[in-house]
Order: sequence, then C-alpha cells, then structure tokens
Amino acid sequence: MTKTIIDYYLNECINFVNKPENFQKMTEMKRLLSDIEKIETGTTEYEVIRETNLYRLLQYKPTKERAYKYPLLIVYALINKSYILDLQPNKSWVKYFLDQGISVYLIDWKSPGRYDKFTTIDDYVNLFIYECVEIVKNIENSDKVSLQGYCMGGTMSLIYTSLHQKNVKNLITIAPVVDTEKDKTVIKNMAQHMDIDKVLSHYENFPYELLYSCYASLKPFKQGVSKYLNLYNHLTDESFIQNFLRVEKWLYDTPPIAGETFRQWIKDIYQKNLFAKNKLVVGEDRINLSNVKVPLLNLVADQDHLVSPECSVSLNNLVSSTDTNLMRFSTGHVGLIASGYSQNVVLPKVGNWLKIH
Amino acid sequence: MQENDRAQKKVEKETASMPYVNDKFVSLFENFYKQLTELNKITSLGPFISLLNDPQINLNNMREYGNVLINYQIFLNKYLTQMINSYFLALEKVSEGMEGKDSEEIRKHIINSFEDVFSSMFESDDFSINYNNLVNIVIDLNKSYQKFFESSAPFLNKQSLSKEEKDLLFNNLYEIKKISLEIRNKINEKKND
Repeated sequence: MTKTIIDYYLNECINFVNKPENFQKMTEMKRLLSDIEKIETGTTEYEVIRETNLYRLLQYKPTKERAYKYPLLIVYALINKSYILDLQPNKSWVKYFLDQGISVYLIDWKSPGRYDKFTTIDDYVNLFIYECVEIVKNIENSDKVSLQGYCMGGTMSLIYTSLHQKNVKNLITIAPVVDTEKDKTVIKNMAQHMDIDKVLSHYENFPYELLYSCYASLKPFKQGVSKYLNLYNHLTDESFIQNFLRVEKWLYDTPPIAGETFRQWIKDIYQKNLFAKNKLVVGEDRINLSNVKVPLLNLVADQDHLVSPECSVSLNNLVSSTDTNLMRFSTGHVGLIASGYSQNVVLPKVGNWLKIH
Repeated sequence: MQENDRAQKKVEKETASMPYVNDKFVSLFENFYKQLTELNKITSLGPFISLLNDPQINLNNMREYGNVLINYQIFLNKYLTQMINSYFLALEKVSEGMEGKDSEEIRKHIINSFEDVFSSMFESDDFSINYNNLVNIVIDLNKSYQKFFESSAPFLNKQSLSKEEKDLLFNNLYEIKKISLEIRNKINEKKND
C-alpha cells in the first residue's frame, strides 16, 4: 500500500528536480505571495462621508446618470473586509450598480479595539446602521433607502428592517444567516460546541486567529493545496495572478469581532436559533421576522460552504412581505459576489429586480 | 481531581475505538497521566499544607498549573489522535484507488481523498467537542500561567490594571460613546422633523 504512494511521490520529486524552470517558478510564486500586501483592491472612486472608530460610510462616485430613485446602502459583514465587493474593475459588485445609474453607499466596518468589546448587535443595528441610513436619506433627500446585506450583514439588515421598516424601500439579502438549525457547515458545527463565555473571559474580542483556524477546516485540501497548484500552473497568466492575489489577500484579512456582538451571535443565533424562532432580543426589542413587509430578494449560493443554502432559504417563509423572491445560484459564498459568474449571471438579475422595485 | 478522572475515563473509552493508534502507546500515556494526577493529590495532605501557604514557595499555584497542564496534554492527545487517524484513513483511501491512474489523476485523487476524510472529521461532533475543549484548556493554561507569574513576581505587575479594572474602564468608555451617538442621532432626528 505505502510503497505505491511513496513511488508516486518519488516520481513526482524526480520530475520536479529534473526541470530547472520549476525552481524559478517556485521562487516567483514565493515572491508573489510574500508581496501580497502590496496588491491594490477597491479601485472604484469613493468619498468617506462619516467615520468613527468602528465604521466608515462610503459614498461611491456615480459613473452614469441617475436611473433609480432610491439610494442603495450595502451593509457588509463583520468578517473579512468589504473590498471583496469592489475587488477589481471587472469583478466589482459596487461598480455594476453604479453603471446601472444607481447611487451606491457602503458601510465598511473597522476593526474593534479592546475598548470596543462591549459593542453589541443592538449597537451595530440601532446606532451604526441606523445613523448611516439617516445620513444617506439626508444626502439623497429621500425618505427611504434600498438596503442590501451580505452574510452577517444580511442578518443585521433583516434586524434593522424588522425594527425600522419605514426607512426601507426594499431589501436584498445575500447568503444571510437565518435558520441555523438547518445549517450543515463546519462553522455551525464549531459554533455549536463553542464555550463563548470562556473564550471571551480571556480575550476582549473574538480573535481573528480563531476565525482563521475555523476557515482552514472548511475546504482543507482544495483551499490549502489545490488552489496553490492552480496558481503554479498559471504563472504566465497575469490576469489570473492578479485575481488570485486579490482574493487571497482578502481571505487572510479579517478583523476580530467585538466580544459582546460575537457572544450573542454564537449563543442566540447559532446555538439557540432564536432569530429564526422570532425570539431574538436586540436591545429592548424582540425581533420578529414577520414584521418585515417590504419587497424582499433573497440570494442564495447552492455550493455555499460557509452558510448552508437551507439556512438562508428559510427566510422567504418567515417574512410577511407579499413580494418575495428567492434566487438560487450554482456557485459558492464568495463566488456569489466576486466572480465572473457573479458579474455575468447574478448581478444582471439583481439589477433587473431592483429596477422594478 | 474528579474532573481529571472523568476526562481520563472518556479518553480511555474513545481512544480504544480508534483504529490506527497503537494500543501500547495509548496505555503508556494513560499510565503517565494517572501517575501525574496521583502525585498532584499529595500536595493536599498533612505537612504540605503549611508549605502551600508559604507565598515564597507558591505551591498552590504550581499545583493548579500542573493540573491544567495535565488536562492540556489529555485534550491535545485526543486532538492529535483524531488528526493521525484521519491521516492514515486518507492514506488508505488513496492507495485503494491509485491503480490505473496517470500522474495528474493520482494528484487529484490524493487531494479528493484527503479532502473527503478530513472534511468528515471536521463536520463531526467529536471533532468540534475536542477542538473546543482544546481551545478552552489553552485559555485555562494562559490564565493559570498568568496567575502563577503574578504571584511569583508581584513587583512586575504593579503598573498594570487587573482585567476587572480594565473591563470597568472599557465599559465606561463604551457607555459614553454609546450615549453620545444616541444624542447625536436624536438631534439629527429632531432636525429632520
């Protein structure tokens, strides 16, 4: 048994050593990966119109004449950084909407410091998102915004909408975390047995190192081995390299999560599934998803390994909106927002939906 | 101590059902843990009590630190055992399907086999429990080390605040920031009205 595998490895090693160009390729790959910090992301022009120690509100510069009445406010997740929505000009979620004549704003969450450990989901929703919506409404002289949330941002957008519906024209959720009892991912499995009180008795905020170790177990060999072999085989393809490095940079660029926020996220949403049961308490309010009555578009990735499709799909049956749409796509969690597939298949459908709502 | 015993019994039960770990190796470690736990019990007896209370010797903290280290070793062992078993299971799966494949196909087969086996492990309840136990015991270890360090060299910590003091400070800071943002939002609301 072992001999066959050893034979294979030896054979591969001999083949590798016999080609001197392989060493050059390895050196080049090492150089590319060690210079990853220098790679540029988020090339669409914007202005920071509000900045606190926990978030920035970005207003993107219009590229076309206004074609949609309501401004679009995107609520990004608290995990990783928001530049995935504007990775590069030909793979930019943000740019697509600008090119459709839609006014785009984005909440870019910043890393919480140790002193931000008491920041709660209530603060994120009822103070920060609330303030951003008011600012956008004032700038645009509009009574409502079109709200869009990705992953955790989708969940927070839902909480906001259930509490402040009069400010929301329509809601687009992208892979939101809703019904965690139906979630079959490794993340759910890890969260299920996590003693978050213990972790937060030692750390101020949930450390990014623990998030990384969780990511590393998601697709350990396809992510950890295959993709680098793929890079090795595409070292002459500049466009492939640039795209690879931008996504790679994003994957390893995640801030810690504010302690109290993550405590409620793990206990109430993942371990007790209170959000889907309409029992989640945020601040002084119990969140009832049936309060959501605005038009809803729910985008779900069928190969999502971070949020199970079933976990997001349940949403359409939990809200009271008479106009609900569920769009399922044959891609993954990141592919849904930052890929050629996203640009060619997902975004045109979302754009069309937005125009008629 | 009771916790240690319970953890040890669970380890014995679970490692016994694991297919690739050598029985003699497992039993050697079990005995080692037992000996250590027994040794740790001695410090709760007779003449040792006066020594325990001697701040210079600091035996209580050392004993606590020792117990945490033993538990750490137990959970780390469980974690590594799961990893090793999965590794051998994946190797077995690889060798079963290597026949008649060219080099590129074998590479894919290796990656897929390892992916399948390790993904099943990561998705299992057992792994999640073991991993979270390991995270918890590492936290205990850090806390215990900190305590031991603080009591051994109190003069080094005079300048810093305790965790509770820091938390109080952070909480006050948080409340001030929250109230100021609430006031700001209310003022803006009034302006808009």
